[in-house]
Amino acid sequence: MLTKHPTLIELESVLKEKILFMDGAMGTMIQTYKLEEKDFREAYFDQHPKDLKGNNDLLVFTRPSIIKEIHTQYLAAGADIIETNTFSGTKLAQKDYDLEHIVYDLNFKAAKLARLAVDDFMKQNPDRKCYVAGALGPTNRTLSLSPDVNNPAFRAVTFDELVENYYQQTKALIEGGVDILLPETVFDTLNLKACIFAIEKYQDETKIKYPLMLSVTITDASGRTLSGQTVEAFWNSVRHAKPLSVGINCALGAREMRPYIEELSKIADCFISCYPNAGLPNPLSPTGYDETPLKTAQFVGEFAESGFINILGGCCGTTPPHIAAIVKKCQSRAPRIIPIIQQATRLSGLEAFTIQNSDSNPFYMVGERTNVTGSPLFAKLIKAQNFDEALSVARQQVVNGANIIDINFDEGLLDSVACMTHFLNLVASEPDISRVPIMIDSSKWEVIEAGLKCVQGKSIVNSISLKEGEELFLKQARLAQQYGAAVVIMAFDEQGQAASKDEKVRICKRAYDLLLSKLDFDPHDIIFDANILTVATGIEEHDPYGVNFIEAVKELKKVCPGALTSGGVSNLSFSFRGNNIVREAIHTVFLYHAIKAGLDMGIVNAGMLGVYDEINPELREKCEAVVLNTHSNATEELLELAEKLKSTNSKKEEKIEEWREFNLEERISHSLVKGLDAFVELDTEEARVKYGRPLNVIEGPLMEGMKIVGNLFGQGKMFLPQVVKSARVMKKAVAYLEPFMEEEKRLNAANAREQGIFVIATVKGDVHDIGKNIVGVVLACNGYKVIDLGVMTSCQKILDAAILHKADIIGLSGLITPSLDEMIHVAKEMERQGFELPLLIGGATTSKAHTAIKIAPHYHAPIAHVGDASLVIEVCNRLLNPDKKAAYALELKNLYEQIRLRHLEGLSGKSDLLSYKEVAAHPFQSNWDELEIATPSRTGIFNIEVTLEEIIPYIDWSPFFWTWELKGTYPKILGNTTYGEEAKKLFHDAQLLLKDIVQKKIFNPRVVVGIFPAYSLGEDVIVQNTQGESTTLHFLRQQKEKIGDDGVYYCLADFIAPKASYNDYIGGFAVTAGHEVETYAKSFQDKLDDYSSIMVKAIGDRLAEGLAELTHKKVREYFGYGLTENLSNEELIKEKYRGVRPAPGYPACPDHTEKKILWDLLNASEQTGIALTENFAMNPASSVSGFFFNHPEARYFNVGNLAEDQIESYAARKDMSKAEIEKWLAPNLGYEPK
Amino acid sequence: MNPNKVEKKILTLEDVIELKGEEWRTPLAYARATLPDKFLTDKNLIRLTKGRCTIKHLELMVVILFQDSKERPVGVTGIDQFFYVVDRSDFNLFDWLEVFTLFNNWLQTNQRKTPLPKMLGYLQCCEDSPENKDINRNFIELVKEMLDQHGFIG
Repeated sequence: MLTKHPTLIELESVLKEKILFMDGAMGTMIQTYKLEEKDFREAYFDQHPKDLKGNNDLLVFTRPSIIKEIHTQYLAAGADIIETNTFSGTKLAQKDYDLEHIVYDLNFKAAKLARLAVDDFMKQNPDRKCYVAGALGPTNRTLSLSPDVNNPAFRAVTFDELVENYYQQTKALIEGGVDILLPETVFDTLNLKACIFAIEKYQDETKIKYPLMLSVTITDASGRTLSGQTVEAFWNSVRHAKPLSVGINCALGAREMRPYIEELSKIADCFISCYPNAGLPNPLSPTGYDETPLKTAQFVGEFAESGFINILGGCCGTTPPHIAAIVKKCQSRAPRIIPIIQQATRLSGLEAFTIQNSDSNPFYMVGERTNVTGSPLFAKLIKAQNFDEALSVARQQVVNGANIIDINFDEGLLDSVACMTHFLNLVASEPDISRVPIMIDSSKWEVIEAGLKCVQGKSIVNSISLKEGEELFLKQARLAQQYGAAVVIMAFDEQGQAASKDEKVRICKRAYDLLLSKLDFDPHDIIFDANILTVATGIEEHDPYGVNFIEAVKELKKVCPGALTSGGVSNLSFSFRGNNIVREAIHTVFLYHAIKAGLDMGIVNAGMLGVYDEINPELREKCEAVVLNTHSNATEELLELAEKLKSTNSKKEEKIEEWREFNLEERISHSLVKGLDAFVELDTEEARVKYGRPLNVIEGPLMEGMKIVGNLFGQGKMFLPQVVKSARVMKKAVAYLEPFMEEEKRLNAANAREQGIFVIATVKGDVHDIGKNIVGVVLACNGYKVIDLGVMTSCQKILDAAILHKADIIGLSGLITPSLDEMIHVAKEMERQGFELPLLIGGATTSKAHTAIKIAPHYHAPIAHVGDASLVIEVCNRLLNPDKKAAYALELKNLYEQIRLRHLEGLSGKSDLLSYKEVAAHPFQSNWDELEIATPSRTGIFNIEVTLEEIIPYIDWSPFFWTWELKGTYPKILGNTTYGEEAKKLFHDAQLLLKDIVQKKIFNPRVVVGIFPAYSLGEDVIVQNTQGESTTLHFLRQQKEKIGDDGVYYCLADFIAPKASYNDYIGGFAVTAGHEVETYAKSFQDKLDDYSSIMVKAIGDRLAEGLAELTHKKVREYFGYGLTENLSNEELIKEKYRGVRPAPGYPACPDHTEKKILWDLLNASEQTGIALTENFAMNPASSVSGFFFNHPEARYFNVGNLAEDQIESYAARKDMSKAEIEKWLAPNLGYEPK
Repeated sequence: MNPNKVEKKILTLEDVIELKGEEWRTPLAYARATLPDKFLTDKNLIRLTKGRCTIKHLELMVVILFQDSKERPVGVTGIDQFFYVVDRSDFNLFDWLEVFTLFNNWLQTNQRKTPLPKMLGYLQCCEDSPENKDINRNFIELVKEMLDQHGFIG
């Protein structure tokens, strides 16, 4: 047992009283001194052969006054804790400069210097108590990731090397006088586990427990570390260190960090620290970051206000003024109170896995197939060094539902240590496997220890026991504790294996007591395996083995609180090898009773478990008799029945194997059509060998498979979501082949062949790209090389890219109406610059008619409108096929000519527009003197805090299906006879993703609302903004002659009272699902998973729309009338409430430029982060904005076609030229502009 | 643009006959005899016919409105629903009468029948389709294109 260092006791007490403050960035401050190479050398390293500029840690030798000055500035700014200048103070980090030998001195000197700064400062400020934290950086190596893309099992550093590095640094820092140890900027949890291991080693030697702060780095909006762990998984992996605090620093600004700090503050039973960057990087800023001190303080101030925080500071880009602002904002705030965390077994892979110790626990399955002793297939693969296929065995376990996977290489002919290391390193690079915790299984401790050095998650050691006495047992248990693992303890002692209930309980209880009393072991990290021994062997004394185990479990749950129970279930039925039906039945019956007795988990073949009630009743009865040993003939009777029931097949695994028996080409087609990616790399490799060249594989079996997909899609037998899944498989196969193609190109450049090249972009001023991405995927999986230029792409960038990449076709996409003008511009420029390439037009607002009438006349080469992703391949193939392209170009030309002619004919004689004067005389009229005008409970601009959970009931799912080109309305679409099944799958996938987004708070919805006094003046609405100034909103009036009863020509201004004295109000809003939608979607795109990427954006759009609906509801409540609403969600979605929220750019107010006025009124950019492009599209795309009209009879309508007289008047009202207005209102012009 | 339309006063069926010719007397009488006032008031009959409506348009509308009156004897009338849709459309009454004729012919050719609300729904969908976005389409061409490309399920 260790003695707490007095500083640790002091800090534990201080942190309960107040928030402590740390310093800010060291690097940013050093930058301001504009140091040169000589500054890093003088007096110490003059003759050093390598450049040293940038090795900031050296300044403690060469410019200690600067470092001390920076420390002092931070102390003066209010920091209670300053960090030593030792971020790169390890041998590994200094190796780049050939300075490994200075590491001890560097850390020692840095600690002394910081100590001196603190001591001097405290002398001058006796009322302040300050501390020195020794910073331990992450090094430039990762234990969980391979730097070699072609060798995922490779590691550039070992666990032991890191332990040695960190041990040395720890020792130097402590001896130099630091108060706290601070491993920080942790991007790989396994590196941190090595650091903790080193610190514990040092503490064990000194018998002192030092204050330890841990700080992890969440790299992006995925909410994960660089090595892939979630916040909770990270915490489960390192909580064995029992740190003073855990927190987050670097990579993100405070705003982005909020959800992760919030999560950590809920789950960690220690203090919480947070030192974010000064916002996100801005390369144009001198420090690389441009968030102001006030802003940073505002964000972290909110953390403090929310009770998330005990320690606050700054990371990259922060300066003493940032710290001063943070201190000022937060020093009077109460610190977070450490919550009482429910006791549980907390494991992790990339994701957390928690087992609550309660009676209602479900049974957890440990996958057993990655065990060479139990799975002949796995053993065969490992012996053949076929680790890649062995990985698929692990993956299948997870797919089949294993919560944990057991990995064992105990086989005489194997180098078990090497196998365990290699395999676990491979598993680490497979997120779909490594998301679950690993059970490292071996009878040899050195194999277990090798495994523990490879897993970043909290794993389970399987197993240790008292077989060789207490000393070894405790030594191994202590090591497991230091590696941060739970342990399985076998019911085995010096006398041997326990078979009876009493022996099982006695041995386990003894182990339990030893662990708790000698090692302060967390009882929740103990899992007893009370030995499931084989029954029905024909030996009478074996008959009670099943029931003995079940009874022992029941007793252990009573006498060893907190501990879990487990067992290897397959052993039980070993005597029925070869008869899978009976084995499955025995396992099912056994588990049924054992789980009732309290069994928490078992090592089982997850694919070989049945349902108790579904077992043949006769078989179930016989199995029950054997398992519970109800009578002496039980075994005989089961044997007799077993003979009759010899299994002919087992279940799921063989189903999978069935298609694995197909020939290579059929297997590839199957993977593509079914969207299965588990074997595609394996099969692609086989095809690469068979077909000689990677391109032959693409053009051969892969394209053949995709043709089948294309045909099924064309015939309506497959739907877009399935096609996108197929594309994901295709991409994975192509990605696998890419290195081979690159190599082939390098070796034989002359023979390399190009695919059709398609340059695609969302045009300037527009940010919408779901449709474009879908088209990109469909093209890519049909063999086209797609150069995707993203969104808001300028005309010249598109044309330059087309030249650079020698494009065969250019594709333009856009959603908002102003994008149509930009497309015309691109066509004109292509003509002007002498292009001959075909141009494809697509996107929600585009049409064949617009393409024919407005775009095609400006470009002589073929232009084709593609209204649907399913059509794009046919169009491209015809445009590029040398035999067909001329005829197709002519066909397009003729078609568009016809459309133009028909259009011109249609225009003549059309138009029943009344004069502006006439329609203005027939507005919608209200009796304002009698009308009850709603008065809001709040006015001005304000934000509304909304959680993602709150938005979900307000989502209208129908447009989600339209995104995927499934037509229909939700929920009816789920029952559609043609594509209902696919719609269900799609919806299911969306729900899973949405759940994940909500649980991890991946998106950060933002809302700004403004409610302002207003009155109407004709078609204008005069708004009094928050400064009391007047702003004018401009609306338009319908002009098409009415024939029905009302004879009303609507304008939105009609719904606002005409005089200020009526005290009417108008509202405005801007909401967004957040920029995180884009970054999260991109994280999938980077993993070649377009399906999930598109899904994320589609969900982001739904959340934004749902958020607008929810915001409207809240605004109606502010106005009072919303409080008495009693509408179902469906009714809400159908907008059956009082008031409307039309959006600028849409039918009732079609002028997009009004959005700018709304933005200024709401200060929307600053309040929500939503920017307007030059064409008034909102960025991020998952955003919605509009006005609120509260009039009881306010309604949506279509302004429709407008006559020239109103356009002239409107231009004058807006002080814009008529031509400019005509440009923005082109779709509404009821005349041909000059 | 026809700035004088609102001013034109056509108050009775006789005014319509006077404006459009004697050949309208029988069709109007037929309409009056077929559809009671409940389903087509004089006011609505005048609204329907005073513009560019042809006798063929009128005859077709009477048939459709009669069928609708049998299918929906209570509630909103077919003609009110028709006017409601036309008033919310960018296309004028004449265009609507033309596409009704076109759609009806298509249904007959395909030996199909469909109630008035479904006809209106389909034609509204055509108007709302991307092919009619941001460009002043000819309604008849648009509907023709939709029927050719997508047909009609109803």
